[in-house]
Amino acid sequence: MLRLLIWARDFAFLLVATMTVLFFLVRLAGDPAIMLAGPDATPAQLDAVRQAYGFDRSLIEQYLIFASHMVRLDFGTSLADGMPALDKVLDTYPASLFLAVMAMALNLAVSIPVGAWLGQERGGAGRRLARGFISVMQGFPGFVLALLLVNLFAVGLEWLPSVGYAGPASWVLPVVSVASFLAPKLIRVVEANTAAAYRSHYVRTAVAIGTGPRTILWRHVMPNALLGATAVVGAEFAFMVTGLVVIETIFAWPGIGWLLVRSTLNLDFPVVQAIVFIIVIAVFLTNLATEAVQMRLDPRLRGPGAAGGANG
Amino acid sequence: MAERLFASGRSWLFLGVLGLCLLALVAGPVLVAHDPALIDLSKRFAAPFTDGHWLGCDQLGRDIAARLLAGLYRSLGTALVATAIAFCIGTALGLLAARSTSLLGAFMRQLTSFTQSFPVFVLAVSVIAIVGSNGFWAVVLTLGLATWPVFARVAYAEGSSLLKREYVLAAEMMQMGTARLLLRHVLPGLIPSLSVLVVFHFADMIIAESALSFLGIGAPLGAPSWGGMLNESRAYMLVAPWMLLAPAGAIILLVVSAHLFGQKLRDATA
Amino acid sequence: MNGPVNDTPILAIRDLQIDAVPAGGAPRRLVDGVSLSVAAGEVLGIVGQSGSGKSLSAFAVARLLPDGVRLAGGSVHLGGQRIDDLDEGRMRALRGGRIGFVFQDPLSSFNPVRTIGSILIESIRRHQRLDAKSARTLAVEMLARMRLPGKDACVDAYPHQLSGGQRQRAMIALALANGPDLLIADEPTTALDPTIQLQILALLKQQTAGRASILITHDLSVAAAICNRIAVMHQGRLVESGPAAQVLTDPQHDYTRSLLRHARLAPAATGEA
Ligand SMILES: Nc1ncnc2c1ncn2[C@@H]1O[C@H](COP(=O)(O)OP(=O)(O)O)[C@@H](O)[C@H]1O
Ligand SMILES: [Mg+2]
Repeated sequence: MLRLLIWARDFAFLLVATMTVLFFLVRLAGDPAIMLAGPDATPAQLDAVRQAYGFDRSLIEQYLIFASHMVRLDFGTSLADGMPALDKVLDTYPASLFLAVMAMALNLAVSIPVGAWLGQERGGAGRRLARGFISVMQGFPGFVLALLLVNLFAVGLEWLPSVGYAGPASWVLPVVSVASFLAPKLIRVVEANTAAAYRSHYVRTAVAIGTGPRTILWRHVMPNALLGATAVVGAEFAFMVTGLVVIETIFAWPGIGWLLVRSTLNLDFPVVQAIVFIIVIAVFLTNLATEAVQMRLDPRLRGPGAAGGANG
Repeated sequence: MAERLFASGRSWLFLGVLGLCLLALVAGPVLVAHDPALIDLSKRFAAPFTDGHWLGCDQLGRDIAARLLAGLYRSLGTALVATAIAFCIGTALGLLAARSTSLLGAFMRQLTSFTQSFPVFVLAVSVIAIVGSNGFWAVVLTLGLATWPVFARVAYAEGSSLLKREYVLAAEMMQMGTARLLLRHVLPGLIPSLSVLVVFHFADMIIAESALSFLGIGAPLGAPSWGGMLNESRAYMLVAPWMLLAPAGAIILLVVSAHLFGQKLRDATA
Repeated sequence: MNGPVNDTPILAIRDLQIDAVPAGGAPRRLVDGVSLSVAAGEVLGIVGQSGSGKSLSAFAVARLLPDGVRLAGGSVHLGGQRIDDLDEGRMRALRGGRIGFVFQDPLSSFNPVRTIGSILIESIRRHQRLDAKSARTLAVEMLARMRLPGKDACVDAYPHQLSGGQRQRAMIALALANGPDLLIADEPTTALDPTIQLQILALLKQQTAGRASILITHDLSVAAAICNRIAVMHQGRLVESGPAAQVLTDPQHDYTRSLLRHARLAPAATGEA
């Protein structure tokens, strides 16, 4: 209960701080009236626009209005098309979450078996080759890889569409690009945890009671190895929910990252503010979910149970 | 440590690539006798190795090798300065938080999570708009301000454990000032892990700079940057794949070799 | 508990050699020419300072050697049958079946994300044909017999929920779950508080009745408390072995004498309690 209160306090602080900094930052960044009225507008037209949108009031005044509206989840309307800003964001977020979930699924499907395989033994030509490959991939810039994949599979071989969000074929390249950026790190963590588990005393105990290699892998080693990997999975997911700006731009993926680029460059304040608001919530929820999963998986985090007294 | 570090080819690869970069910085203008901004429509999409254009020309007939070299200045400069800023802010705040009361520590955590969920892109665009036309310093500032928690976390964690060591406690007993205590007795102990972090961060900053310029942030329109070159190449992938491959290869070579060096450095200091 | 009960020993180790085989280096001998035997009803104490090869020698019995260490020579017989050359499947049937192990650190030796009972049940079902329900009943019974508290004797507790002494009791229950002929306890009390040590020793002493047991310790007073025979190891070699009373009162080897000088033996401990 106390934990929940602390969480709520931290979250409220984070949200208020972020939105406040953002508000003044974007106001200092440019004058949206020029955007709205067009480049050829006369000073009189600009003033009219400013008055219509309330940009003529003092910054503090504007901030108070903004804050009082934000409390009611009212972020105003997009300066670009007049749609409610929050609706615009909520319409595009599913595409981003879809990409994040698919990429994470592929990442897990590859990283867990490969990491477990690598962690089982040190030697062997196959393992050494795989480790070298992963070392290189670990430093590989994700968006450059995405461009190369597009060049090869979409432009060169014409196997897959290069852009868009229209059916499974168009999902392949974005998902593979993101997953191959995430996977090397997770593979390394699963590998290290698996190797550590195999060296552990509790696996020696399992061997000493006659347990076979399969049961040791699935019931003794992997639960611990995966438990140690949940923090990385959570961090990778938190990173993705902030919007994959470059990847979405490359693939014209109609998600929040793509919307963020367009709205920021167009000084569409209401939409930018709504996006950041949603991102802060999403990151916070992801961290919360990660902790909840760890709590479920790790009995030690659930605290001492009702079992037994303290006397030997 | 140095022996272990250079026992394998990987470290040499990075130093080789770094040497190559330095050589390109110094001798580049001699090797590439072209103007990166010179537009020559008669040379549109000239293939590599034609007319002294080693890496070919782009859609406006500009020499790609020359643009790559000009982009190298921007990339290296941005990465080095941004890493330095992040290092200084992060290490200082991390150590101070390790040293001081729980209140500052809590504030640090808040600041860190704030910095993590704030979109770098919005920050970059706003800072550029505020700082003005000079995109270079805006990007450097943005990247430094957005990424310092990486250093803060390590400095905080390791600094806290170092501060509990006996020799530090002894120094504390002698009423050494906080700044001197941290600089003389704690910081030296952090050098191994921080230097590994610096190498990885440098690589990340190269990627971040090219990602921002790919999105059109930072480098002024038409100015040569690796990310900008990648962006321009997208429309001509079929006719002039070298427009993509040259900057992609440059980024990959620099970043991957730095990463491999960082991994070696980590193993050697572990 | 005086002397061997049976003529043919349960365990006979002859001329054991164990090597360290580092990844890129020459093998290094860790244990050299160790021969031991333990009869039913007998408790053999292996003593010697840390690093003298006690654990490796004992683990070699069930081929439980860590990575990078291998059995280089010698033979192991269990109940008259040679077992060091058994295939993995048959060896697995012996581990936890006819040979039970108790390890030094009971916290790290239990899987942190599994309940005590689930490990016990895994062992029971591996070696006895029991359905899940009766395996659980047996597990509770074993734990209760080791005096773990509660109605179901902590069967559903996670290791971190138990005290150090309780964990070691659970570890002993695990070692004995399938009624082994041979019990090997590697420094079973080293990680525990002194008062708890005595309780665990008493429990072990009670449970060793009727089987062959090996108790490894670097503490002569522990060996003196419950062993019938004592073997002394030094730098990978066996330097002396014999009836406990004889080794403790009339040591033949200098190393044993120096061990004795440093041990704080209660006067009664040298006799048989
Ligand atoms: N996995 C291993 N690799 C290499 N050497 C080992 C390994 N395990 C133990 N040794 C060495 O073998 C010797 C005997 O170890 P051990 O049997 O554990 O001693 P103890 O008598 O304390 O139980 C020690 O010198 C130790 O360093
Ligand atoms: Mg030992």
